[in-house]
Amino acid sequence: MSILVLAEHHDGQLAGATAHVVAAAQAIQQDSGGDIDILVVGENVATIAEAAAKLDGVSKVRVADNAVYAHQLAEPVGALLVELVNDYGHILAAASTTAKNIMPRVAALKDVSQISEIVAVDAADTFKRPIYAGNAIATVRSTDVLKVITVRSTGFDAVGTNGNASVETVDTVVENSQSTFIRQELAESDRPELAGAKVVISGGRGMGNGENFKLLDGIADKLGAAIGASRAAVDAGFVPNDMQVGQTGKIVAPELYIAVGISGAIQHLAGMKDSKVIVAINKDEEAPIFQVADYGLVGDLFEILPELESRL
Amino acid sequence: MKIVVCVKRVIDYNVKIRVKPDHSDVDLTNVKMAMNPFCEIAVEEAVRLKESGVATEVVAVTIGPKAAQEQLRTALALGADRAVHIDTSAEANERIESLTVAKLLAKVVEEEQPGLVILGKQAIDTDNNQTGQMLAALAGLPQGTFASEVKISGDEGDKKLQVTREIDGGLQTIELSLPAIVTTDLRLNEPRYAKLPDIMKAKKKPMDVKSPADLCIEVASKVTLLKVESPAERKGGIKVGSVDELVDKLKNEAKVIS
Amino acid sequence: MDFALNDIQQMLQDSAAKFIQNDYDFETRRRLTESELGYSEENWKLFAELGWLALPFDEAYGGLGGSLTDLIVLQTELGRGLVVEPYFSTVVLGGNLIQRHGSESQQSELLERLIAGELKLAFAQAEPQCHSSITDIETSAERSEEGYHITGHKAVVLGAPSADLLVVAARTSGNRGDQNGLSLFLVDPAQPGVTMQAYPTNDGFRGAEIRFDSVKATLLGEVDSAYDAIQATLNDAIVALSAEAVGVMEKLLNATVEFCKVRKQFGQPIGKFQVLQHRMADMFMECEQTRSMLYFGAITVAGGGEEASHAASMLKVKVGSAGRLVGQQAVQLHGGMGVSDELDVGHFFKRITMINTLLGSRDEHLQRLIRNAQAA
Repeated sequence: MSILVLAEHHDGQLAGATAHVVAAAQAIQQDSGGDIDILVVGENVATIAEAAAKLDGVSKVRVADNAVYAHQLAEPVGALLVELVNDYGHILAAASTTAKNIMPRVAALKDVSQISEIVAVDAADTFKRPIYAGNAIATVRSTDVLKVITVRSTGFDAVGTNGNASVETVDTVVENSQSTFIRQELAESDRPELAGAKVVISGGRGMGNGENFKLLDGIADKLGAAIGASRAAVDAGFVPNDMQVGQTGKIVAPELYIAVGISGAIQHLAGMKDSKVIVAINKDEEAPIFQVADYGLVGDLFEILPELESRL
Repeated sequence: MKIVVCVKRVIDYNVKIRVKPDHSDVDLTNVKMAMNPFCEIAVEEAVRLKESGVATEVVAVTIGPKAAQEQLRTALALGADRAVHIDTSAEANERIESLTVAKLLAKVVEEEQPGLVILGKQAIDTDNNQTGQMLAALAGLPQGTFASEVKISGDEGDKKLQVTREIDGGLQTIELSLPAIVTTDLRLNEPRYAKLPDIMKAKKKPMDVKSPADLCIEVASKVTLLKVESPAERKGGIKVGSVDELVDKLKNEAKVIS
Repeated sequence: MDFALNDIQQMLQDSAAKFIQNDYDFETRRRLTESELGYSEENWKLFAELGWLALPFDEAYGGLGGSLTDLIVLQTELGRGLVVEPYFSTVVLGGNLIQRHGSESQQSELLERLIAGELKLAFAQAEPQCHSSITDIETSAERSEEGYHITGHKAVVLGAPSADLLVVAARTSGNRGDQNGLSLFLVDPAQPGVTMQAYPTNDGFRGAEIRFDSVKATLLGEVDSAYDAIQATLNDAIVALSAEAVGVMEKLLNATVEFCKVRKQFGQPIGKFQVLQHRMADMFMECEQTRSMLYFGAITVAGGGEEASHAASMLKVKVGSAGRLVGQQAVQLHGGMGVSDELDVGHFFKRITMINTLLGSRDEHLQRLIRNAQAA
């Protein structure tokens, strides 16, 4: 049977995460066979569908474009997926807040379990996923006829964009009298998205206040980095919640992760410990972050940051 | 309006877990257990809604072994009026899948007919983030997940629920018809400490115990846990003595910057 | 015997532990000890709201009727958090004296205010010469037409600087050393004739030397007959203080074990060296034995009678010895850091050391046990 991938998109763009989910789909396909289709659901998503059609390994892009799917509310998108999913043995989506909101509805309505945040595919029915804030990795096998899966992007390398899939319309429209979109406040930024950035520099409670996060700007500019934060910094009101890296925030695995003024609580480590290279800057020599850091620099971040910026 | 709040017994979030030597599971012997932090936030929100006059009754529910009654007593001490324990001690498999939990909760919701059901967004042991959404689907109700703010508005007979949600890019506000399901995110509220007089009164509040069989739900699962491993260890790192040394290492040793 | 906590005790422990974790970390506590007041009034109000101030008092006066065992559950957590709010002086000492010896109307009025968080107390009992003897009191109370007036000198009055009322032990008849003739008085410290020299104690609390120069005082309960109430209160207090000590010792043990896993020297974590493991094993055993002794003490003291004082002394001896070993080993195994102000270990060490000097040291109680054994 074939595999359906729910495309991740926002702001009229196909999200980088989708290419990683397709990679996971390919890993499953090696064992199960079948085709990989992408489903793009939303309103005014034609360009997104075109971009999706370019992803390697995709047979078909199916597009459900209607006002009722605007903002990808869980109730209508879930209902749509339930209709479409009958021809597939697997349905995959990125472990984003959008898909995490929608996918369990699909699973429940199809009376199957969901396997969340897989980081590896062992077989078409066997997957690895983190539990206990990533302090353990569980290998699970499902005998459900439909496997509903969310994928942690950092576990799979993105596929390329030399594909040429066909695009077809999905006419199914569902009713939604239960939920209405009111408004959205998204962070405006020229910087790369945290989740997919190659370099991330994060500030913690040691930054002292929100103003001081500006000290990270120059370095982020030079390195083309995204800026993240620990939960402590978010809770203290220094920065908004969408910058939080951690067990209940974003999971990132960049090439380079620089933790500034972050102590390294388990919950934060859960969000970044798979980074290729970790640098820690903290005035407390005993801070737990130094245990995972490849390079640790003990000192006053207010002195170190300007110096680092000037040396890059 | 009645509120049903669902809580789960999990390891205390300070606990450092260890994988069993036979890799069959995580070692939970003698480990301190507690109410899932997101569930504490759920209880707090329900109690606040009662204190503000929006809700008339708060019913706390848990699915778990006998010991999970401790968490129900805590919920009662924090302000819930009644508790329901779905006792899974007799089940062959200790691990109950989210889908089964959702089915059991759907039965409770059917019986209790609440105006609002509040759950934590995820349990810190399984990190699934599924149960609330599954419950909503099974009960045919709308959902406001990862809530950082919850507001009831509207007149009698036409009440609506506004939920502000923490999403990847920032915050989203949606409006839902009632009854609805809400899952809590960390910044929804700060849970209170249980007061000793309330702790003592909690013993006298009613607690119903049912089995999954009583609710006509079979506890079965098509997902098997094959093994549990520790994640790959990171190799130890070094401390550098200066910014210059750091930049040098990043450029020439790790080769992550140019 | 089942030493597991019951539901209520478990929830009390959980909520106290949570308070310490969320709102009473080491830095917070440090700021409090360095502040002018020495503690937080907001915390005191929270304690009142949480019902902690009501815990050991009679339900007739708005208390929660908690037992000594319930109290030690809370006290252990307060020990773990090195909590400096004047709970011990107000609830365990002052409040208990009022409950045991005050008249009905005094209990009713004063305990109600205490439970509401509106009355703080300090027990002025020890004097420079008395070496923790209850009866070796020179402070005396003179009766006249205008009532009682107290003259004397009290040492190390814990919690005095923040007390609204002092509970003062004074002699109303008999000779120095007699059990009969001791009375308790309530004194408003703001009055003329009271000279208070306040100071911070080594372990983060506040105390004072107080001189009374013909100070107006109100008799608490019956005259001349306060010995039993004082004895029983001090026994209870020893148990409560020992519970704090157990919390402090267990923190010292855990901090030391964690540190030894992390501190690398001579090529490996120092915790891998067998001799240090022996030391930590010794610390663990002392903690366990003290905990057992605490339970024994709580049960026996609650039973009252002769055994109560005997058990209290034995408990205090154990706490003194074990506390010293655990405290000193913790400091040693932490190396130089163990005595630095920035690390919490040093503060736990100071607390356990001070606990030994409060309510009679290990040596004083050992002397007492020896005297009792010889008299028998």
